[in-house]
Amino acid sequence: MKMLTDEQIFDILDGCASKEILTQHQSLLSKSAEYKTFFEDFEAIHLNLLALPIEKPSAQFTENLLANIAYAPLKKKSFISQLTWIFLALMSIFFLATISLALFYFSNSNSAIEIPKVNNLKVINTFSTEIFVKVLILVNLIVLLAIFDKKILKPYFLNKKIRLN
Amino acid sequence: MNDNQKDINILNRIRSGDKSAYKELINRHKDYAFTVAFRILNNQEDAEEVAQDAFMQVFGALKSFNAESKFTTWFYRIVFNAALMQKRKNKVESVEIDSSSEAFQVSHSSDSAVDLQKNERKNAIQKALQNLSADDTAMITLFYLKELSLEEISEITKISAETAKVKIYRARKRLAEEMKKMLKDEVKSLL
Repeated sequence: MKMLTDEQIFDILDGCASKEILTQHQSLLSKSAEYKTFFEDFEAIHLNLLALPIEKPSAQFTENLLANIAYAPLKKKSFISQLTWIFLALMSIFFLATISLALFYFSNSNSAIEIPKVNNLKVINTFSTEIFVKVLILVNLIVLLAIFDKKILKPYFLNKKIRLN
Repeated sequence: MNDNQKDINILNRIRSGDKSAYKELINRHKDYAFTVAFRILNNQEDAEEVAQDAFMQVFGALKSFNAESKFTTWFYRIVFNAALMQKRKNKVESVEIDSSSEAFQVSHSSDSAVDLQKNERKNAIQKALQNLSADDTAMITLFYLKELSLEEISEITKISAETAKVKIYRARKRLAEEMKKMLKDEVKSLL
C-alpha cells in the first residue's frame, strides 16, 4: 500500500486532510507498523508544539514600558466645535434676561405702556411677515437637526459599528 | 464582546487619553508578544526590548490603525518584523539558555518516567527550535502559539496563505530532522 507523504500527515494533524487521505491513513495505521511509528513520531512533535508554554517577560516589563510612554495629551475641543453650544448658551442667557427684566418691569410699574404703532414702520412690517416666521422656524429646525445628528446619531452609529466588528 | 472588540475598545480609550488603558493593553498582549520575540531571538533581554519597542510603535501609530482589521494581526506583524530586524542586527550566535532561565521553567513536580520523558521531549523541542532559522521558528511559533489561521499568518508575514502553509510544513519537517539529530537513540527507537 502506498505510504502518505509528510505533507499529507501534517494535513491530518492540522485537521484539514481530505476524506480520501483519512481513509488511506486509517487503513495504513491498521496494516503497517512502520507507518504507525512514522505517524506517531510526527504526532508527538505536533502535540508537543501545541503544548509549548507561553513565555513570561520580567515582572517589571509593564512598569518599564509605562515609564517610557509619553502619554498623548487629552484632545482639547476646538473653538469651532464648541461654537454651537456657545451660541445656544448666549441665546438662553439673553432669553432668560429678557423675561426676567420684563417680569421685573411689569411688577414694579403702574404706568401704561404706550405701544408704538409698528404698523407704520415699513422695515418692521417686512420682518413681521408670515414668511419671516416660517424661515426662522425652518432655520431653528435645521440647527436642531444638525445638533441631534452630531451629538446623538453619530456617536450611536459609531458605537454600533464597533460592536458589529 | 470578543477579544478583538475588547482590543478596539481599549484602543479607543487610549485615543481619548485614558492612561489606565495603556496598562490594560500591555497586560493583555505582553506574554504573547514576548513569546514570539523570544522564540525568534532566543534571548530574554533582546526579546523584552523588542516586545517593548513593538508596544511603543503601536502607541505611536494608533492613528494609522484601521479599526476594521484585527488588532492582534497588526500587532504581531510589528513584533515579528521587529524581532527579525533585531536578529539580523545581532548576527551573533544565540545564547544558550541555562536551566535556571525564567523563560524555560520546566515543572519537575512529578518524577514518573512518563513525565520525565515528556519533559525531555519538551526540552528537546525548545532546543531544536533554537537551532532552526529565524523564519522557521517564527512560522512554527505563529502557527502554534495562538493557533492563528493561515490567513492571519500570511497577513503578519506578508506572504500568501499558500506560501505560509508550505513554509510551516517545511519548518516542521526541519524541526523533526533537528530532533532526530538531537535525540539520537531515543528518536531512533521511536522511529
